[in-house]
Amino acid sequence: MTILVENLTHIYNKGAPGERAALRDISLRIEDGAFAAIVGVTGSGKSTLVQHFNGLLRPTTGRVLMDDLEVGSREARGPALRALRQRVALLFQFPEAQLFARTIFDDVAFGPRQLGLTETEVRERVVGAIEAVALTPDDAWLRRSPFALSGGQRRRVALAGVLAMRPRVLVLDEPSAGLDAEARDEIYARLRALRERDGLTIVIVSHDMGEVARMADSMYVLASGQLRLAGTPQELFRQTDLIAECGLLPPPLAEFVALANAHGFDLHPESFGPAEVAASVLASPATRRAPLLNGNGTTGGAGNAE
Amino acid sequence: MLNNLPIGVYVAGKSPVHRLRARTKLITLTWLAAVFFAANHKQFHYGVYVVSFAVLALALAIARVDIRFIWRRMRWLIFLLAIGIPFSLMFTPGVTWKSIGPLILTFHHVHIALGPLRVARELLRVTVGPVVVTYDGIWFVISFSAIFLLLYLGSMTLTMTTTPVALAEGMVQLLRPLRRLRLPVDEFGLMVLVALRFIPVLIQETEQMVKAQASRGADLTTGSPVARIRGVTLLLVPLVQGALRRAQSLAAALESRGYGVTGEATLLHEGPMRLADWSVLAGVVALTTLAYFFA
Repeated sequence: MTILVENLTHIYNKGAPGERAALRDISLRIEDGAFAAIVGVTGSGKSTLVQHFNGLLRPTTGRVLMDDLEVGSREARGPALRALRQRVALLFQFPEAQLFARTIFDDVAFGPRQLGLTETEVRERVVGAIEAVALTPDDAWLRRSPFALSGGQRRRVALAGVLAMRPRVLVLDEPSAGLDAEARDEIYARLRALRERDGLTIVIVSHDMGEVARMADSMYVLASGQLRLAGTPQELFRQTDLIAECGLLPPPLAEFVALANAHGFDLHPESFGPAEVAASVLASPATRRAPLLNGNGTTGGAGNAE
Repeated sequence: MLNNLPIGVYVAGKSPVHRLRARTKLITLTWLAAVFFAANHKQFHYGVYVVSFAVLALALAIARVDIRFIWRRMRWLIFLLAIGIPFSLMFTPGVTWKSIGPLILTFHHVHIALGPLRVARELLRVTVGPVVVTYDGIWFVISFSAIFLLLYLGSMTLTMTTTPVALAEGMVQLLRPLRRLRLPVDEFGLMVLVALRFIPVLIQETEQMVKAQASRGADLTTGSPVARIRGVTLLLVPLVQGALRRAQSLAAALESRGYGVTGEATLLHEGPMRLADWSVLAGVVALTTLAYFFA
């Protein structure tokens, strides 16, 4: 599903005390099957923007097109809106706080039941969704209360809850906030697998630049409600000063590359993941001149260079 | 969605009405309520209501409150009142003003079949009424509509021009004489303050929860009544759970800092009464008393 945003402006409480423009004149396009990241400091309008994608918010002015459906238009009401919400799943920040059913099964089954599926189909979807987030859906476990799980597992159950709707677009608001490193890697691995398996379009809202550098293939930087930068993370993170201007900390490896280049290295990593940066260090003529790595400059050296 | 809630509607301002002490506004409102119910017994004397309306209108004008904003909040109340009016008119006993009817409806050749039950009549007469509208009924409708609307307007003036903190502090000060009866007035004040602090948080959490469930196909605005009620209960579970969790951590945080009520707390926002406060009180009391006896 292609997401097209044209001159979107959103004003909260229009015409009432507390009127506030959250988004101003945003235009962007997220291609079908992309892994896009929307980044910016707290209050820059990221969450407001993504809530337009499944029609939770309507544009004050401008347009948001999900494929051919214009969000907030007369055609996008009632059944069409429900269909949109089924195809565009949105997972809020700290979704584990939004679990509500008595058992894990009922919680994940909530969405499919709203779709009016039969109980057999519902079960099939629940089991599929739980497996997709790498949990084991045996019956005893599914009958447990979601509140008995650990934080990381609860977040994965919440993710399963939206996956059970079989969406085409997955919008995740701060999917890794507050998780430990292991749980975070697990979520990333799941997202990547889902994208490869089902060809989902994934949009994440984040202010963890390391996460963005590793995962996303396109990136949109918001600052005080306006779109400041757009491009691939590789392009944008090369301009560490521009990123810093928007109040964000570039990923450590991007800073490393910028620093190395300032000292006469000529590094051009494909992305700012550890392996790619290490490879670019080894490929650099400056490194080859250095006696330390001479004769040892194969992939085996990548671990040291990190 | 929850923007229409009449809670926490303080609109910052620097008008003379904003600067009045919370106590002044609270006492005025209580006084008006008392006078209304006293005036209610004098049938067809409108003086008190007219004067009170003038006072409140003046206050709102001085505070520069947007009329449209007030209307948006009042219209539902007016709608509710309107539903009740015919019933009050019809069923209040007293001196008759007008008797309408009885209305006799005549049907010819009636055949009604309800399963095995068959009724066939050449002529059917149905008597409706008579509906008796009494003077007491009319006065009841007029006075109570006026009282409701005026008190609503008054409390809106109060909450729109007074910060919640000043309001809570004003309440505590007014209740202080009750300390002699060993009632925990200061603790009550702290409770009110903490509760007020959480209203916006809870509203925000509710909105978030509604959105999260809407994203998963729930819809509180369509569907059968049963489905909607079920939707609301699904909403309440995580909300109550969240509120309890929050309350617990707040209690722990307060306790770990040694926060508590020890003796008479000084108040930051609610200072001593000033000349303006006394004048407003005296003016309102004088005007309404005069209106009560002479109009």
